[in-house]
Amino acid sequence: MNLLAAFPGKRYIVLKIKDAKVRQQANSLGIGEGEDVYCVARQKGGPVIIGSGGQLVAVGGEVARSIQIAPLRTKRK
Amino acid sequence: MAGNPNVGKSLVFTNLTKRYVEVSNYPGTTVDISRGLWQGNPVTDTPGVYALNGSNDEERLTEALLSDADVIINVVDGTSLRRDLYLTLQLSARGVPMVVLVNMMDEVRRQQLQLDLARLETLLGVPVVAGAAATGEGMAELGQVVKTIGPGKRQRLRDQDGDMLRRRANEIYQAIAAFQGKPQLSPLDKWLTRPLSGLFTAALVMAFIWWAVGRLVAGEVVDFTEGVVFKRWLLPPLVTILQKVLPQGLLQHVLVGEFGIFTMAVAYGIGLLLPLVFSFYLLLSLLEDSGYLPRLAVLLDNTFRPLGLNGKAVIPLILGFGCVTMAVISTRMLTTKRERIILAFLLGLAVPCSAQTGVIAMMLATMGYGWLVLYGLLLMVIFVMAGVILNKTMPGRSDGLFLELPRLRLPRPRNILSKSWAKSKAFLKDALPLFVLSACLITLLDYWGGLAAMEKLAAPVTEAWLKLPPTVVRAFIMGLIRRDFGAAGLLTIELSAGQRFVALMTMTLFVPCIASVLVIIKEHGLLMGFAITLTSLAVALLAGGLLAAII
Repeated sequence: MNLLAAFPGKRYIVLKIKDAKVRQQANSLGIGEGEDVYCVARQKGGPVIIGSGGQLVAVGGEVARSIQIAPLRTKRK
Repeated sequence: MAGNPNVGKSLVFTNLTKRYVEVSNYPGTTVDISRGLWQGNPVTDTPGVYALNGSNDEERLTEALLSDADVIINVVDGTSLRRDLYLTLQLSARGVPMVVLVNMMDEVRRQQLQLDLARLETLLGVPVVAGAAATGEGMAELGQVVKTIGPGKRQRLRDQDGDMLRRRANEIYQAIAAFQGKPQLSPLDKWLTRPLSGLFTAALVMAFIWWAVGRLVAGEVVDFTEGVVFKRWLLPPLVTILQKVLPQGLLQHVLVGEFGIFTMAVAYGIGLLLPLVFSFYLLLSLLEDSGYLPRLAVLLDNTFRPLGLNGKAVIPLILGFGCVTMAVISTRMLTTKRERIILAFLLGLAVPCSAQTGVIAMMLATMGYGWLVLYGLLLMVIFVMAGVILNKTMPGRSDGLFLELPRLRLPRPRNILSKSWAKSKAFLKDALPLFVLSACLITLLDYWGGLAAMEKLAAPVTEAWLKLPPTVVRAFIMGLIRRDFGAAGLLTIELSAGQRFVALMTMTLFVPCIASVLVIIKEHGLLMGFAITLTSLAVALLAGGLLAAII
């Protein structure tokens, strides 16, 4: 699945970012491959607002489509 | 001084260099940098960047500036340290003596984040200072450390591989920080980024900007600075003296004629443009420092995609309804040259500035509101069409939205004022010589009968194609200098309702005013300036002619 399909309130792990420029940006913002991110809010078709390490990042629809993610299973408290 | 955007770097900078600040355009780029003196040494505030990959103007400029640095002060935000460490590692790989200032410690304590800064110092091999620029905490200590600093441990990152850098940054972060909670949108944030409430707020903000720049400053303030100070107090005595001292002829025209250096260039530059520029920078800094602009960009991202722009384009666009010239300057905030050119094009073509809208709205309203609605709709159609065509034909690719949302915060008045003033001064230094030059050119044109000749030359176009009397040419040329002059000039010419509509529409689409063209040339080069001017001209005449045929 890609980031556009993320549900607000759920945690995900970033699997793969196809576009090299996007990957570089993502790395410098701390949401590169292998990071876990938290979907904070989403408009249909983007942008998606994700949280990671205390900061919020808005990702436009096209960019979000190129970011592959998988749900991160965490135990419920 | 280097660091990520929104880490409070400029506040640290103003804190250190209390007095001497100079904002300038770095040669060959469109990025503003600030320079100042601290403890007798020059300090440069580089643009905020997330990395040094040379992937945009800011990053390339920062690299260039850092290559001259004797000491690097890396400002990081204690609340987003994991992200910031990426740049810190890249910086420390340069082997230049460096100190890391962990800023926003007041916020770190408030959020009860645990940071082991002693361990950070060991892991990075460079001194680390805790501070909070907002309260002045740590600034004195920073001064001590910078004096005694030597070459630090050089991080061995030879291939600069992004994935590897990120892993290393994460390792360091895990070693020094306790777990951070989930980031969340504050209620205000939710309000601003949800479509309905967000658009409502955006409309209010836009209305306020339009009122403040377009009405309050362009009207009331400029009426005083230009209308009273210059036209009543300063110019009349000056003109009288110069007319007595100088022989009649060209020199007198050049200095104090209708388009003279003093009567036009200086009076407009200082009486008209300076208040506009200053108020514009004031509002822009307010929006910037509060963190509202990124929220607006999120809200409108999808709307702008067909035009080859992303949500960030909304900011210059709003400003364009106040003053197109200023808006062109603010296209700098877009990341690719392609986006900047598309937006400069659209601004020059189809966005009427406040000086114009006032006169135009008045003229159309007296003809009936149907004309006003038609005017707005036609402009919108042309705007969207031009954007779509540019997006399809321009080479390259526009960047998608990828934008950090900094915390919303109350801007600091001192910071806003000093930033706006420094930027206004820098703008005036650039613009005034260009104004003087264009005043000279127009005077010469007028003196040697160029204006009258142009009227004759343009007659086939004005009479046969646009079906307008030849005298409108003068109004159009006046419109180049100041938009509202041109539109108001049409009032004195006898026109039918249809003719008036054609003339107003053509004038709106027509070449942007001289100030805008000069700024477009300054930002995008002579070639692009001509391209935008000529295209505007072509579109204006085409649309005007078609309208004249239909109406």
